Amino acid sequence: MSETFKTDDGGTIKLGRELGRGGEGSVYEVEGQPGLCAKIYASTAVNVQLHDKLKVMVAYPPKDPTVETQKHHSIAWPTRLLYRGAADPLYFAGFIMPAIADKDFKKAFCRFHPDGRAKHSGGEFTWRHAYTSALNISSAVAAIHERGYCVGDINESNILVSGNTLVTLIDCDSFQVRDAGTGRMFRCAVGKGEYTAPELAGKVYCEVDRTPATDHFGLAVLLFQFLMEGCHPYQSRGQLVADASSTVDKISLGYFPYRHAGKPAGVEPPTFAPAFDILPAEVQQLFVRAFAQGHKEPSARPTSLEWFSGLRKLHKQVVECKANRRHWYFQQLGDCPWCRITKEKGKDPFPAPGQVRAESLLAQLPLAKIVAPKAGQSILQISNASFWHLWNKDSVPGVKFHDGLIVENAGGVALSGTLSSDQGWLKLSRNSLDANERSQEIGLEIDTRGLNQNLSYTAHVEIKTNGGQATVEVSIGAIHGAAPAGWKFLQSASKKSQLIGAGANGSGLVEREVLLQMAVLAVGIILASYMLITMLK
Amino acid sequence: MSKLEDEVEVGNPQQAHCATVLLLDTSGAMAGPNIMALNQGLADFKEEVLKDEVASKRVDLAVVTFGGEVKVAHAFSSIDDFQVSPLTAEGATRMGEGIWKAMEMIEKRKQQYREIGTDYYRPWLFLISAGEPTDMRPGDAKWDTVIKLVHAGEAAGKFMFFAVAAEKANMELLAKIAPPNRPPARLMSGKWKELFGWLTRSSAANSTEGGSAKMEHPQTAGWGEVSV
Repeated sequence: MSETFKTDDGGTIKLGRELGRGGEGSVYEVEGQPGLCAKIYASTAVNVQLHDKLKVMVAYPPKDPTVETQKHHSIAWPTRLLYRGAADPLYFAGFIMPAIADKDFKKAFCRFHPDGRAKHSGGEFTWRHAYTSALNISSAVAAIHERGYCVGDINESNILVSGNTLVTLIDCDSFQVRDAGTGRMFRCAVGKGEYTAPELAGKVYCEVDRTPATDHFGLAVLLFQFLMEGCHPYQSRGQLVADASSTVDKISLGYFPYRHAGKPAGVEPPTFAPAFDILPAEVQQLFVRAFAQGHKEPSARPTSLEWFSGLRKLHKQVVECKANRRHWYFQQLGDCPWCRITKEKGKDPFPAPGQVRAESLLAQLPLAKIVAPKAGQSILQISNASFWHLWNKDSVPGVKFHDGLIVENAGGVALSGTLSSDQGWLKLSRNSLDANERSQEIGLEIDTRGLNQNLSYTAHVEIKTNGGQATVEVSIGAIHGAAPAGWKFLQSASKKSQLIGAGANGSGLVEREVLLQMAVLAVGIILASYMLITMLK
Repeated sequence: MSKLEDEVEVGNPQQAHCATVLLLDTSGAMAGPNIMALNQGLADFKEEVLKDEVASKRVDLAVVTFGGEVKVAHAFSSIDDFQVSPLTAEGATRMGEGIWKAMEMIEKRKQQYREIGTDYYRPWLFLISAGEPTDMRPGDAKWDTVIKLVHAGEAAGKFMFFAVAAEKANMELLAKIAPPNRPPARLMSGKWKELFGWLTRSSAANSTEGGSAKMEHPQTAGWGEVSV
């Protein structure tokens, strides 16, 4: 099939291969545009109302938290409408959206379910990966809410998660959309019982308005599944739930079985659930708000932004087990819970993959220094947090690494200034800022030619602007044996980037790691920066 | 009277389970192409369910056969671990005992779910027969007990009972065994592949859409004849 369609901006596209087929239509490649795909509705699914809804969506997209920083779409948002002929609702056929072609992106289910996880990535998708995925999902949902949309049908199958914890929300055309201009509401007609807030139980989805609070319920269920080995928060056993067999029945009853003030006797967590204590008290408290208080009181549930910042704050405390590189846990636990579970159950939840993995690599996470504030109403902000490059002994000698640094203007007037590197091996894509941009990426090239793999190097990027100054430290290190102070173990996992989403306010933190598969302890290139804000004079 | 074969660990306990018992006629009446088609159907079933990542973690499958004697050909397990040695057709049609056994297994499995805290949907009991029961007749004590349990169990929501009549099955008797709200479907001659395709889609839908009362089963078109 190579049908052609008109786009709403007057262009023409030709369909390529069919990528998938569902009840309401099919998704195709767009010929000559590998980054895009087209959803064409079945004639039974298409109507004018759907057209009007998609039109609003195309006109008011959310701010995707990773497009600028990671070149990755966390939200497969419709970008163009497609018509069979004239751009008239009667000829409406479908829409174009970003394609997530990478097969490494799997349904969330395959990442949080212990067996699915083992099948797809062995124990390499560690608890730290699960934690970071949870963070990234929160950030994407926050971006949706920020524009006044609701996801509606949050579930285990319509969020894709890569082996490196990048996430993408798909099936966006089912979201709840309100036309801010006319006040017209386009509801979300679908949902799954296990993620549906109790106040919507038993209702017909297309007859009720969703709210951010109903999304917050579904979001919290999904986050719980990521952090608690695939268990549903209301899964439980005991007298109180003896007559509730299905998850939906248990949600209706509303007994959150994990320890909290006010938990009734007669309901306990499942025998196979990890202890609630693997989570730090702050995260436990968020779940208690979502599922104990929040059962009857939707406004008590943490918002997507609260989840994002709560999880973000504690991310650094997720540490690697000294005995097992695939075990990551909260530092304050003292002992590795996964080692204990492995011993108790005789089965490692993060099993070693088929082959012998290499030594862990070491990475440093230095903070950029805040330099003297400077005058102006523009405010310099560096919103990449930190990222590391790891170099293994199999790497091509003299290999070059590329990455980017996002410079943003958090102030009211144009930001202008200069950038410079103090080392020859670190090159910048430009040496002055574009005053017309609020957010711009400065390309970094690390040229390893001529560098001794046994030594450590540090370079500085000096950024001097009318909105303040900043220094970003970039290190390349060769580390043998024990980690020096201030350096931390980093597990080798994959070739692609890992990210911890951006703040929904658009200027939050982004953290990235580029890790190499089968890395052997050799040389790490560490490139790091940290959010810094310079102050007004 | 718990037997070891019934006490198999629950796989993927984090996921809500749908216990499914395939209760298969392996009596002499199934000999020939039918038993071969049945074996092929089981293999296809496994392969197809495995393609659905969510359903494959939820369908908890057991096979009970009644040909000569009642056997648990496969105790409950996840689809990953599902493996049945090729079935052979011989002997009398001990359907009454087979149904009894299947209902007993379902109750035990539910008990196991409750003990560990695994959620579950209404289990399925899927009977396929090409003959008529030789171990019970309308009016005898066993018949009365079995029929009462089937009808009461269905009415109370303990399980869903599906009956499929293949080949020369005694439709009249099967209709009495099956619950009144779900009369048996007759398999069109040789349409085994279509039957198992339907079973796969239904299992997948049941296990992922929550087995809610509102869920509609896919049409039996393609393999079922409208009974008269």
